[in-house]
Amino acid sequence: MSQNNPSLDALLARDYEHGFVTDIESDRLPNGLNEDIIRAISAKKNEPEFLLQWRLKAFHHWLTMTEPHWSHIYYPPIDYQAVSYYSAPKSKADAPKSLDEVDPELLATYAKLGIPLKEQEMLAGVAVDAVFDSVSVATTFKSKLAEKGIIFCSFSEAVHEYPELIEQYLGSVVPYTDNFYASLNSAVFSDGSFVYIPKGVRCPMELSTYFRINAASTGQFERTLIIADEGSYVSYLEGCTAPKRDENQLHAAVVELIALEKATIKYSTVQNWYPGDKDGKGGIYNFVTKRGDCRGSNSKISWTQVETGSAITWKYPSVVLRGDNSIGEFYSVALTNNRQQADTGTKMIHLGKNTRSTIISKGISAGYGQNTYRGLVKIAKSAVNARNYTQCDSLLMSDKCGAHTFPYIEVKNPTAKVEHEASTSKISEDQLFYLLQRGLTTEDAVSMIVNGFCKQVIRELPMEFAVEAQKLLGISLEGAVG
Amino acid sequence: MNTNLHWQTQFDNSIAQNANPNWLTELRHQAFKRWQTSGFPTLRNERWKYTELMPLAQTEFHLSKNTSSDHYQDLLPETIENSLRLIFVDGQLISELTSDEIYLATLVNTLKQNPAKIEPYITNKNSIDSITDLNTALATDGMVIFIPANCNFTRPIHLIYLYTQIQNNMVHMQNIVHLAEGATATIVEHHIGKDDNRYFSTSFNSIKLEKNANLTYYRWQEQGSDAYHINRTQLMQATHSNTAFFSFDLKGHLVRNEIFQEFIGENAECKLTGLYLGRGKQHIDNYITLNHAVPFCRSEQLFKGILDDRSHGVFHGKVVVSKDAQKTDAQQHNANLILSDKAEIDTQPQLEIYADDVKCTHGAAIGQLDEEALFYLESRGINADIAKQMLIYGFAADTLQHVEQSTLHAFCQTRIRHYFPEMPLLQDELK
Repeated sequence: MSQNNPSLDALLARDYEHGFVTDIESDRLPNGLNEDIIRAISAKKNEPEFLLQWRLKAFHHWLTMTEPHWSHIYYPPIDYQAVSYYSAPKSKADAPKSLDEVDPELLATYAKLGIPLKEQEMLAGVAVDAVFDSVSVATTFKSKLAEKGIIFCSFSEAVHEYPELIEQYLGSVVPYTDNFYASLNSAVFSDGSFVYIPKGVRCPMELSTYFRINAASTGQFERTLIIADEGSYVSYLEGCTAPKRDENQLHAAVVELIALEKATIKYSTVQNWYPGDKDGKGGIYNFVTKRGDCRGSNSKISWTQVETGSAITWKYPSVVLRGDNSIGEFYSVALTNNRQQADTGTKMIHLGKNTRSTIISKGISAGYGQNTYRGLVKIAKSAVNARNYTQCDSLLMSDKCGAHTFPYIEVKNPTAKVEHEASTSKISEDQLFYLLQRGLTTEDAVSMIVNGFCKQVIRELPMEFAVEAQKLLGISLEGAVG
Repeated sequence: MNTNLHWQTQFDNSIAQNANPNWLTELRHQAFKRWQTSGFPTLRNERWKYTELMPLAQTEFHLSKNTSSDHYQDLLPETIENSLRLIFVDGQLISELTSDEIYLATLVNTLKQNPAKIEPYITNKNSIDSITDLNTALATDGMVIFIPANCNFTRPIHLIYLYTQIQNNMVHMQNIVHLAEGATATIVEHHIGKDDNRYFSTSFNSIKLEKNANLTYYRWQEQGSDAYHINRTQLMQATHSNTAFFSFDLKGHLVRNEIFQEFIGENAECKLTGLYLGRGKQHIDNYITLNHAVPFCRSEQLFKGILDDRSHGVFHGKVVVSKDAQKTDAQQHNANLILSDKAEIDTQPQLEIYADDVKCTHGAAIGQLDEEALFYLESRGINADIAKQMLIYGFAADTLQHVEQSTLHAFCQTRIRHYFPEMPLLQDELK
């Protein structure tokens, strides 16, 4: 990696494109966390008593926990009392019913990000539940979905309109005692998305939420709950960008997926939060708990993620394969450049008979990036004929970066077939040379090789996302190889 | 009796009985103090996640006293052709042997005659957890082997550790092996114990290879059916040195085998081959760390496990490639065969890589006997049970492929055959 290419250096030095701060008045609570704050959040959102009690239980449990440090990431200690746990755009009181009512400044923010709601509504046919900081401000295509009986709304709305569903399913996949960040989220979560697909319904469009973190030093605590009833299908997209800021921002989301008999949930993420500048200053701390539960037989949950952003990514989308013949999938591309650190992977817990899981993880490290795959494949005694295939490959693009693989495989049933393969290498000189001598620039050649390396994962993404993901990979890596 | 008090008594007795140099006594005191505060590692310790030491902590073990050396004959393994045979019974050498070519003495004698020779090996012990402290505090004997420069010592050195002790005894050993520049040696470390007695043993090896040295090392563990055994090997390799390390865990109740290998010189090579056989309620834990600290080194790991009945196998293999270790070539593979629905395997093949120009792969597989292979054998008229035995034996014997010396190959094969009594004789065994 000794030769330097000036044009590439220029690209490498390029700043985060989506870095801007929208000046919107925020309705926010003082920094710090105690019982009063939680009561205040709950009161502001007019929540039923059961939810407040649940939050308080989570908070008291959280107080007994210590921050986990087993992951392969390093960061200065976080002061959880210096974070404001609630911030909502000012128009919260009279939430807009349509796009026209949305604060124009907010719409401009989306326009800068290249996701104009209106355009998406018309062109892409995507229903966008845009989350700006903590309160949902616009939900589109709602009526079309309502025809089919599909519920797609913000979490707070669901709390008021479908409290019985919330009470039944909230915390049933990720209990409030699950881990430090999940407990914190359970205590203070502000909003998120809620999806319910009724029996036998195939959701006619990709459901999508864009998350934005905006107000300074506001942690964002999203909570998403998706329930696919018997025989239903849903594909859900989650994409993220965040404005530039120098302080590290804390993000601890929880996503719960529940697939009943013969239901399929496909959950795709493109995460492009602010990764910090080239010296590692700023950037989002992303501690996420995502878990799916294949509760019914023949159900399927598939996670696809492209992680290019955040200073720190701590994320293990998992599947509990409870139902017989259920299927779990995990496709991941994690890219770390500059000083980014990612510790990500999955857990596949096989409990039912004939359960199958596939894990494809591609890690790319450049600059000083540290990229860790950490995964668990567990075959319980009850999981007769379980099958797992895991492949995790790492691509190293500088001599200062790191790529680590920490798989855990626990097998308690002799009929299980479990395979794990991993390789670590750099971009082959031969491949690069071949492309260069065909007249491609270094940058295009690298981008082509990387896209080839990630193809297995990218092709799992819905089309709109796949395009965005490929672009992101290109932008994030330009100049990483000279 | 209070547990701490019990250990204190054991330690005080051991100090009183051994006239060690001052630095060592001091070191043992320090280690024991650390041990008293930490105790045995628990499951909460990530390194011991799958191995429960509670039963060890709850038993009061006594350091073994003088040996009644008559009960060991039936434990002795076959003789390796042309080998130098040294027999320890319950931690004491019973057959003194010397050699003109190499330095061969017990730790006790070396400490008396030439303590400076081994001081750095004892003081630089990698203190990763309380087990090291326990060993440092209580290990009083072991073997010291120094192979001089350019000596090609062709006789295999067969170190036999026999455990014949009465209930609840313990033995802690410390071995030191040094191969000077250009030296070549073959060492067989062999632990064999009597069944049905509960006893606890730790055996720590410090091995260092200087430039161009060549070592072939065999570690055989055939402890008794109620034995607790912890084995830790620290292996350092200088430039152009070469190690072939074989590890066979065939018996014992709870066995932990740790290998910490480190390349400290370029262009060195290390091949690790392991086989673990779990039956009954055995628990076998292999914890391997390979450290590529310098560029241009090659490492290869192949560990195979066969788990039957209620046995529990654990494999942890980690390859660390430091940021300067460019051109590293590291391969790791762990394959497991599960034969019973009560058996369990936990495997963690790990890579930790900080350099970019490297070739590292690892793989793990868990499965059953190949139905097609079984069908093939049966279609040739072979009884299903025997066919199974043949396939299992074939899976195990694969680890012997890299055993190059023919005398040792024969020895290994015979030894492994004890565990496959139903397996029909092979062509070369019929001759």
